[in-house]
Amino acid sequence: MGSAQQSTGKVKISFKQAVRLLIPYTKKRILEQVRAVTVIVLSLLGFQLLVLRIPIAQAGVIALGIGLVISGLAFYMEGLFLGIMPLGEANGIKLPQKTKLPTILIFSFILGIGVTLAEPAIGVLQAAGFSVKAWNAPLLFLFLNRLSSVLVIAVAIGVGLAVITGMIRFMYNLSLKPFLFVLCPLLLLVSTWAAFNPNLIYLTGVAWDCGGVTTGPVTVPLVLALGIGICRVVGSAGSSIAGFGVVSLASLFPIVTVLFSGILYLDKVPDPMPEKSFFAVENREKATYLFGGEEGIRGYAFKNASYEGQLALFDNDTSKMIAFLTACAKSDSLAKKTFGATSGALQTWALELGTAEQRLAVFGDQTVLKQAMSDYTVNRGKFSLDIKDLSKRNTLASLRAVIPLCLFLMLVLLVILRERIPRADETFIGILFACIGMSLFNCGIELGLTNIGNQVGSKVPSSFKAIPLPENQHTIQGFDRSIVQTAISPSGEKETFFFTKIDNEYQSLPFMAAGYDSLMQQYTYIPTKGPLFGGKEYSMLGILVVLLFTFAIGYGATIAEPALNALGSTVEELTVGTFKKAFLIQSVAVGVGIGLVLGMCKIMWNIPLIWLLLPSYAVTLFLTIRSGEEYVNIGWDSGGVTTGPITVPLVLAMGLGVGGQLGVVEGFGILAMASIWPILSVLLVGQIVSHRQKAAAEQQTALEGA
Amino acid sequence: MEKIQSCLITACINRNLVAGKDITLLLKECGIHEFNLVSSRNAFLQERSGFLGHLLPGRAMVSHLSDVISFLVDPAETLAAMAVLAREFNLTLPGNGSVFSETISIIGNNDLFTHNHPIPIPNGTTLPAFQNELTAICCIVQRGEGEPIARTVLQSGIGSPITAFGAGTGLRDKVGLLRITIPAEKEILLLLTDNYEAEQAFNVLIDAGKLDQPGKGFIYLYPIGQGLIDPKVSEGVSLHAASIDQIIFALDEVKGGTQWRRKDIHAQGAGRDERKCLLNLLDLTFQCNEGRADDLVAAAMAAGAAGATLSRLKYVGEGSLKAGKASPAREMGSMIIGEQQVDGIAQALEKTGLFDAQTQGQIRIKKVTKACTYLGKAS
Repeated sequence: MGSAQQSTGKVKISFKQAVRLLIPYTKKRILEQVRAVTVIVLSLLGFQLLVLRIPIAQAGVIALGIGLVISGLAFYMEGLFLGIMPLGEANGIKLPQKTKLPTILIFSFILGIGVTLAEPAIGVLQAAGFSVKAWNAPLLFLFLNRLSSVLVIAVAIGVGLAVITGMIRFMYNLSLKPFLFVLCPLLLLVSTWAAFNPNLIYLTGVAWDCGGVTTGPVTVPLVLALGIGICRVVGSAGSSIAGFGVVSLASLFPIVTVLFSGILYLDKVPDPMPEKSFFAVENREKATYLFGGEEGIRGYAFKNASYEGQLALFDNDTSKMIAFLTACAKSDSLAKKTFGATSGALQTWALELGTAEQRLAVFGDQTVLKQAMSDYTVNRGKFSLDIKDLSKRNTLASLRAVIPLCLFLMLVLLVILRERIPRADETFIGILFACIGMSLFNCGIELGLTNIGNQVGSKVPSSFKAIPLPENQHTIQGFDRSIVQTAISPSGEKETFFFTKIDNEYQSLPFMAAGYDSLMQQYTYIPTKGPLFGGKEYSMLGILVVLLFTFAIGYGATIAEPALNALGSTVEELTVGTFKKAFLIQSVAVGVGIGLVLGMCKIMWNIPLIWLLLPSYAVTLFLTIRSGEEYVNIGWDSGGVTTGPITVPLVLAMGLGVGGQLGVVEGFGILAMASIWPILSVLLVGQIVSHRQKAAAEQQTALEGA
Repeated sequence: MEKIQSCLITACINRNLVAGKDITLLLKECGIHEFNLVSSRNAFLQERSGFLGHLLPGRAMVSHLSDVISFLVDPAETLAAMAVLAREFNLTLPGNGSVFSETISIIGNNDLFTHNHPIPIPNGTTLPAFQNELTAICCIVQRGEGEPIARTVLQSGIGSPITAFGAGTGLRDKVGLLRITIPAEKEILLLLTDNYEAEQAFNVLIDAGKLDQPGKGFIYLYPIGQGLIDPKVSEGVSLHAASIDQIIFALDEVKGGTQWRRKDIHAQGAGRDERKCLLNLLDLTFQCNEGRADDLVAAAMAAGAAGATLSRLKYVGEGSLKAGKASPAREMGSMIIGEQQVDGIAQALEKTGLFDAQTQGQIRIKKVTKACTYLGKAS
């Protein structure tokens, strides 16, 4: 055998043959991702079209976005398995053999900080914190806005410490259980203590979400591959399923560091207080600290506070306020510093949020104002898609996430470990695929999933209560009050309405005095939707529909997560196929679904987060005691893996949508529930499987008695 | 090149046997200090119980993790080694695992690899009745194809295959970067039978995996020495006072062997054309530290090998973490070559540095009776 193939060189492949090789390869990978994304896409589209019965805006863009997500995921997963994970494993194998423990620890710390800075996911948290008002949760507001870099650094240090601890665990063959039993109660204790401080209580939600959010699709596979490489060299012969557990620690350690940094800044910020007191003179110094200067607090007040709040900022002196606004109108730099750098920010603010008096101060006289108003009304609501900006932003983010880490690993491998990069050409193309994949994937998420997620998320509460639909509002210029008529309902209530012609159809719209602007002579009508189920507000059926939908979102988004895919593949590989990838993914997805449902309950009924976290963690820790080491490692890692780039934006859209309608202070903590419940479900599944195996083994020992 | 005769003992031990205990310590108690470990899985059929059993009739296939240990002993100590393992892990009982021995030739740095000296079992205890005349069949297929083949084998009652993961090399390494489109992941199935059943098992495997079709895989058959083969094929609720495995075990003892089990070889395969197989072959397996296998396979292929199947293994031995010694993370590449090619390939491997300090390699050679694969459009 083999005499015919004496060739030493390469075999030439014609173009046609190459295509015939590439097609099944690409098809297989694309189809795999299509299957992964199907559930979430169908859930979102189905809910919007069938339940809410609202046509999907920008449907073409969304379809494009979904296509980008699928191709991006396909590229990215391939890049992970070809390039990033082998690089991590090669490092892991050689590190214990060629360096001493201190070097390994330094390497781990730098890696931990590096992965966090590469994928800070801070934008995600900032988007979530968008609705947080400065006077309701000052410390949280500080960390999400001015001092967000401090938050990132705190998380980075936490992750660095976690990776160090993980490596020490591997080197000395320590079980994960003691670390969990020390860490979790400590965290719960600190969080409970923090719950008694009015400022820290809001930071707790973010702290618990931080760790889970920042272990993203680059961090997890890299850290996993590194751990597996190290354990192949260092670990005991018996356990083939070693190398897991670092991701779990990387989700828990940042909670401590974030809360700790919160404590550091506690005395610099004001306590939560009503709006007026926040802007009053006696709290001025602390309040201004949140914004870093006079212009900051003024701009914020104008854009977010009520009129009373704004007045309180100017010491209850209307003339001072008007004088300031006039000065802004005259000085471009002052306007920019206060209202934002985009051109016309001052004017846009005045038209959208200003009172009549303020508008006059900004525009000078009525005619200019009227012109600006009509221009604004015409141009508002036009969807602008800036493809160039979008793609540039996402490509840069993906390069930033992938390249520095890969360069670092390659440098360590080549320079410190003095090894060649194994299969270098595959590694490089893998890294290229990962970058391409991530850019496509991020673009796709923004264009497609987040887009439809926001559309659905803001309307979801219509299932159980009436919500206004501002984007469907009608503005009628030159409104003549004489056309208003009165209607009477069967119970004797009188309502006013009028007729209008929209899209060649005559319709009647209700007339509400609040919507009439006598200065501009225009009437704005904002339609409401819902409640869709049950007829009355907060009906059980309506709430049930929302919870079911939340489960579908959690389940579907988790199935699509790339990091979970990587984890599942690794587990299947290490257990030689006895623990199937699909099985792990399903268990985790169900867990996330349940966790999200509970998180949604937290938002809807304003249950304090700690009431949900404590029992969940208690049960999980109990199951951890009873479970074998392997299941504990895999299960706890699954928790850190789930809150990824697909789940988080969708969950936040839902949380913000519902929370915004219900007027809760902050919608954090829902992700923390989505992190703990998959752990519970995997441990539970592990219990069932090992119970069955024990039964089989008992039959075995029964034979030995023979 | 100098070849040394040695005896390789391979044991497949099911994981739930050693649950919680470190297998290294257990083996040390037997006197085995240096061994290789490959993670594998072992499959059995199981009656579905309860609700699911009524919905889906038939038996489900259940896989357990098992460790395949292999180590070298002096040929004179073969039986002692197998006996002590059989005692430690209760391998005489069905479902616990198998053990067998093979005579191999070693080319390598024998300073590094020494023979193990098993602690002999106390005098007076009866040695287990080892089976003679055994054959091993090794089958290499694409990842994912192993399960249906295993199921067919289990259902025909021949035995329970031991499956490990591996990666294939060969043509795909000659096409440059396009090789990423050709999947390399393989499953390596090992089936232990006695000589009477070997031919039938060989045919069952080929039919189950369609191994005579292009690109479907490769199968070869080689003789092994004595051993204890796990006869267990199914597990689960037994419907009678004794399970079929217990009956088989008892009858093996009564009859003093397994010949009574042999099925009539004339009943099957009557009228089947003689399968075209390859003969006069050897299995050359090299072991090296992780990361070196690619270069070594390339060298071997340049010297005439068609390709190799790579798998990962863990090496447990003295002082393994220091540089200059064998690392615990190792790879092995196994290739089927013609008898005349041995020296050429061995020299090519040595030139590429198989035996240097970085690689800490070793070559093991054993005879292969026959092999079968797609042989081209032969008449």
